[in-house]
Amino acid sequence: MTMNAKPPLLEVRNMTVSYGHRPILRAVDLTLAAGQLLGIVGPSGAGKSTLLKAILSLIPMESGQVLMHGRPLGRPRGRIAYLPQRGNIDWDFPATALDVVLMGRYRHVGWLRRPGPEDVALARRILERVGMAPFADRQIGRLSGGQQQRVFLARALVQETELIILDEPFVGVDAASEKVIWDILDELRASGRALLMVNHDLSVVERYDILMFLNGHVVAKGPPEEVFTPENLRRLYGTRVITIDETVGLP
Amino acid sequence: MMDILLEPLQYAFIQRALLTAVFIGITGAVMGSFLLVKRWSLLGDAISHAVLPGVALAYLWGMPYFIGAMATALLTSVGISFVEQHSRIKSDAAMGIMFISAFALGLAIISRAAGQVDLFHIMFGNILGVSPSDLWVAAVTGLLVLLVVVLLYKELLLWAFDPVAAEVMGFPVRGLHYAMMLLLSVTIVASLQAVGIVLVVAMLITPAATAFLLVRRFGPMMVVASVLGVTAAVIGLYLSYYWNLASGATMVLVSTAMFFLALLLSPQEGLLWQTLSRRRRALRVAGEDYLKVLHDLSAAGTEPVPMALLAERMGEPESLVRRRIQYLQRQGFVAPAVAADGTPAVALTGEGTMRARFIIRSHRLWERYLAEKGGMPWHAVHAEAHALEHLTEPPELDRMEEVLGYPRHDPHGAPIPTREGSLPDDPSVPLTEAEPRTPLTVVRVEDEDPAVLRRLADLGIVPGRRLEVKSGDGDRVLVLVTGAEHTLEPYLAAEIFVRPAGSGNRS
Repeated sequence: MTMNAKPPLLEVRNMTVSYGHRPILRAVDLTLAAGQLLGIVGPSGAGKSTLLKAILSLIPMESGQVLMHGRPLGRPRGRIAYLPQRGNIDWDFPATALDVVLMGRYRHVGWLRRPGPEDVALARRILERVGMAPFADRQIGRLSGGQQQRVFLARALVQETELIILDEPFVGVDAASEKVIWDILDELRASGRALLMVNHDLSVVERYDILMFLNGHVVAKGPPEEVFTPENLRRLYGTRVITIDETVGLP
Repeated sequence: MMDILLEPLQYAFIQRALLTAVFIGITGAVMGSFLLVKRWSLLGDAISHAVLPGVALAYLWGMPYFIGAMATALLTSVGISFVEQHSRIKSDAAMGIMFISAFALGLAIISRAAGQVDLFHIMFGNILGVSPSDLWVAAVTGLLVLLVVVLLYKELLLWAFDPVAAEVMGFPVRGLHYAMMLLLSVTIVASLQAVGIVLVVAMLITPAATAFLLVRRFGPMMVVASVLGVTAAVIGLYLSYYWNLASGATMVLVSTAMFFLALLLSPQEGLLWQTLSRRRRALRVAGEDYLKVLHDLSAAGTEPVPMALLAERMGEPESLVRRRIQYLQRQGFVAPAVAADGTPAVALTGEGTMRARFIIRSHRLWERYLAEKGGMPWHAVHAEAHALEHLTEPPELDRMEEVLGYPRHDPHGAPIPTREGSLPDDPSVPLTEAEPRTPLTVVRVEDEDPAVLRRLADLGIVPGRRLEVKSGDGDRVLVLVTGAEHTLEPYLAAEIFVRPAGSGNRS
């Protein structure tokens, strides 16, 4: 690395995370530049969500470093938008789609103040962009799974961060919503945002700029066409994947 | 009436009780709204029971009771957090252990000091006995809670809804958590004099739960809960004054009555509303079936339709038929008329015709869809489509039509009205009226009777089929179907509609 090279937007160095005495992640490294989408794939229990949470300081690291623009990140404090898995939300909560999107503006609004008309206008614009404008005043429990996910994506967008972290954004999502979400992710990438995503769906790996196979440690990492090989899949999933491949391969 | 309300107010203790009721009504409802969405009801119960030893000691040592109460409430909160964090015990069990043991400690202390402390009073409160200092505690607590909630509204809302997002955005989630635990303890202690340890959680949760049924946003929910909380407290206070009932219990019961009223009457989710909307739907479905029959009869040349004929076709008594027609008239779908023989009749309006064609379109598209995409046999689709036709919105129908490739006929050969509502003329005649010994094409068959349809399918008599009437008398019709010869009963032949072969095209 030369002295005048611009540091990457996000860098994780040698991250190790344990629950109690059980190690979950060992020596994970990753680098993500502006305008890139990094996809993380791995079996359940591989520590994918843990990696995201450790980057966000939601759980402590045992060792390692998280750097943003070359400086230690610490608590992100609004510099990263996070789209968690859908299961952790109380969908009966008395809030409308617009209320939820406005929550994304709270950091910008500042203490002791309420979101203003320009925040509401922005939230409505973003709802329009994810195709949810007609449902702005609907209680969130009365939306379909895909619509709920689009509202949460809108909440991430109004935060106007350079980095968005998404944990399984396509689980329980209909095909139409999935397309909307992908379109917006592509737009974000084109506009120079960085995206870090956990997604179990192996059929979309060619959409990533960087593909990471994770199973407690980094099994493989790089351009999808180099990483997505039968050899690496076998190393990631063990022998199970061989039978799956053969079934799929049958005429 | 005014006397009933004003008479008690001449007493200072009633004035104090009333003001206290207003303060704790609002404070309890606001904190209760957070308790409800955070599922902290058990925590509220735990804190309220845990104040007993503090109150008992305060009485014994001659201190203000709320100092002792706050001390043990906070100690218990800390104890719950400690057990949770330093063992594998989950929070509900941790609360159970801590609050029952604190309660037991309080009972033990009181049993040593028999006679000096009024246990009933501590357990169930007495709003008619509040002292000026109790009123001050309630007032200051109320203002404190309102101030914090107003100033930190958006932070608290985000913390309540999605604490993880709040943390990632950089809000002090832990601080908010402990601030709310503290406010909850203060609120409970301030309400003790009025409703007591055992009942206080009801004052918090019940108005909030009632409001939760009525509105769908958190801010309005707190406002509605406050209004309900104050109303319940004040009504409860008056009832307890006039009927000499325990004040805390009366207030809780009034609040509970309001909750059940909301459960019954709330819009959308209320039981009454659901019953009404089911009835409305049944009325609409019946009305739409009438429109279809009126459309059929009108298309066949009977216009206007005599009420007697309609009653016969629908198989319903004339009184019911009149009610249905009144319903359709209110919607502007039909207009009263007089039949040729001078008896009362009914005619479809332009709007009624459009509505009828929309239902027919829905029915026939569904039949086509079920047959083609659902793989159902053609004799079974009519009944299914009959149920589905009333439930489908125009955009869904348009999409179905697109998926099916814009079919012009249903599986039984009947034309499908376009989305603009136009329906081609039907030039076909029943087979019983067809010219013998001329080539014919089957246009459509009646679809009401599955047995008929099965029979016709067996004979190969389906739309598009060529046939010829060989001979016919009143008793039977002899037909030739591409070489084969069948004898049909007249009822069966009447279900088949044909036109001369070679005239017109079909899809």
